[in-house]
Amino acid sequence: MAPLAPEPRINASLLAKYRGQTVRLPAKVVKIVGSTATVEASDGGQIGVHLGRDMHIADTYVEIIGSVKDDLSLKALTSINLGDRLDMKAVQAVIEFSQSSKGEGILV
Amino acid sequence: MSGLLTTGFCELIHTSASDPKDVIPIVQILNIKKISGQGQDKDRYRVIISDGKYFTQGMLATQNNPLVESKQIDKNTVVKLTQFASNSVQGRKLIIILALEPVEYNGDKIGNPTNLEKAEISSATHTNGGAPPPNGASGGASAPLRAAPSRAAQGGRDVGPLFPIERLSPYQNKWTIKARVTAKSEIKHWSNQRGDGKLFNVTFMDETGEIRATGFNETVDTFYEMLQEGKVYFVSRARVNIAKKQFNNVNNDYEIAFERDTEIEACDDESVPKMKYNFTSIGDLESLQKDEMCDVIGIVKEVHELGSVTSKATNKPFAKRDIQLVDQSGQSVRLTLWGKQAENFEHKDEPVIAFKGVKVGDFGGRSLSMFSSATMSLEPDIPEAHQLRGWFEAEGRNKQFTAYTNTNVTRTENAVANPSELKTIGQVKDEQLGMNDKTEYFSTSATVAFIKQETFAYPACANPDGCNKKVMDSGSGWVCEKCERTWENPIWRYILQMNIMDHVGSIWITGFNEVAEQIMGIPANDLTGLKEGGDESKFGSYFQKAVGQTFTFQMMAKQDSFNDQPRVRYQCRRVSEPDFVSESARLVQQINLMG
Repeated sequence: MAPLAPEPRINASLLAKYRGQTVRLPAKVVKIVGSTATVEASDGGQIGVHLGRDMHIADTYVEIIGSVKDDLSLKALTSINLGDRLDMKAVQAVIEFSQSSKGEGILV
Repeated sequence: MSGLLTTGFCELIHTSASDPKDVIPIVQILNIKKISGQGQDKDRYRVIISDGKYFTQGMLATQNNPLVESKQIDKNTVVKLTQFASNSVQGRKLIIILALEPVEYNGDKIGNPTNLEKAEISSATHTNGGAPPPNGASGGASAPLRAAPSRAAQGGRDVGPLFPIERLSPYQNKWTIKARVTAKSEIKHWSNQRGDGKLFNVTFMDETGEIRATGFNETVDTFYEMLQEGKVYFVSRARVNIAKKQFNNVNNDYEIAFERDTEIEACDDESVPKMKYNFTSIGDLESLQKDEMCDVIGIVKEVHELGSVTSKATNKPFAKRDIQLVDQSGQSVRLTLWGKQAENFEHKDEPVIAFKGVKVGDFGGRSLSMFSSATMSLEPDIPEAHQLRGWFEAEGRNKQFTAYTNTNVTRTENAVANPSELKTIGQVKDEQLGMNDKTEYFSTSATVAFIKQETFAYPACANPDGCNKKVMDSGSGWVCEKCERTWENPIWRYILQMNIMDHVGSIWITGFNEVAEQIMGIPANDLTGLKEGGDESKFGSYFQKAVGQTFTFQMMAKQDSFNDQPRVRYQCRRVSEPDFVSESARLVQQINLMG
């Protein structure tokens, strides 16, 4: 699969844990208003994302790499389009395993 | 005989308005039951005392407990009641024994006393006892007993106050419950060394819980027809035992056994709730352990053929049928019906069915099986059913469901290894699939590593009816032996030999036309044309493109003899794009199971 990423992959409930840090968030785009997007993470929680001007969110599913602000929104640095189909259950499992001892060292 | 006991005492007690004074009766204790005290309360002993003619209930005042505990007072002991009082409790008289002395006696039950309360109800007149009843005969005196038979809201006659099912215990046997029959089993017969018998089960439910009841032998005849599923009944005078969890999976530590004295009456009260469900969504089934019970509700997407399995235990065949259930989670699961339910299952019109008490199995990932006490309810009138129907009509109908096995679930014969269960190539070799004389089926997720370029196709009969037999080149045409026709040009069909590989191992498989065409991306005829036309590079490029693709292969393994050596041949029946969703789900499952 993808090479080990230095940024941990998270979902909505993990935002607080990584306050102030850079993370990856795979999510489904719910709506985009101007330069703010609302996305739904793999655990169902919704997160506000501040996009840069040159960021193109083209697909339904994206992975946003960004830093977690104090108000638990995400300031996006870059995004990756993932197409219009993504198995969020599998994503959630990956995130859970990477947080648990099972995934330590294997999944980030 | 009854000379020892004060005959008529029981009647006296029951008929007197106040306690008879100056009577020191001698009675026999027929039975003692301990009623455990709750919390701070002491244990109390309930006794059955007999005067040789009748018996009745009594309670021992706790100061007498030591006498019981030291066995001075026990079953069949004869005692002198030196001090007692009588209480009216719910229309019955209960004798409270304040002081008593054991009397010398070594023997069994004296006489053949009958239950006084029963006698009171059935007979209009008393037989005379010792002292004449003060308030005249049956009319007034048995009023307290008579009043109770009217079916007041408080339930039973003198058969016990109305209990919630939750409060039933073996410690009290005077109770009545008002409950609905939520499940009734068939009559089952058995015979073992001890003899033959028959039994049936029902499950009762009220607002507080549920409990299973079993009737053996004669009670089958008495109650089987009377008890109807879905109707409410008063039940009393049955025995409460500890539940045999082996046979009984109903959520209660106790169960009921019908006895000869058991009374069951129909009741019209519809306020007793109907089935209570606690549904698990099909997608969450993987979080349940194997052999756990659950309730599910779903739409029946597919109904398979009726099959038959021979029980190893009884050597009798019984019917089984699989159905595929789907719900909003996008997951589908196979549920197995047995016996009569399998035979009678007719509903091919995608109904909503709710199942209660189905057992979770791990056949092919996750599967469900109707346990003997499971119930099935067609199109139930509950909100979940309506939601399901709404979802199905809107989007569910056309949705592609991920099965707990593979998306292309094809039920093939002799499926020992579930054909849709993914195996790694290592497993295929370890398990020696196909090495016995049986044809075995399995699926594997693998990548095409190499395709043989020589003999990749054979000339087949061009008969439009689909003959496909190999035709011989006679120089002036291609001859088909079966159709006895000659064709100018054959249709080339693939007989592709490929080496497929996964992270564990690799095997050589053969793919026929349909499969190979999918892999190669070009019909065999055209490919042969390229070869014969001499366009080597284009020809080769197709092979190159085909290599490296990953598919889910549905395979058949069979043993063949190859120059006197038995060899396993793997044939591919079907090829499909790997279903990442279900494969990830499967991997998640396996990781979860990891230590």
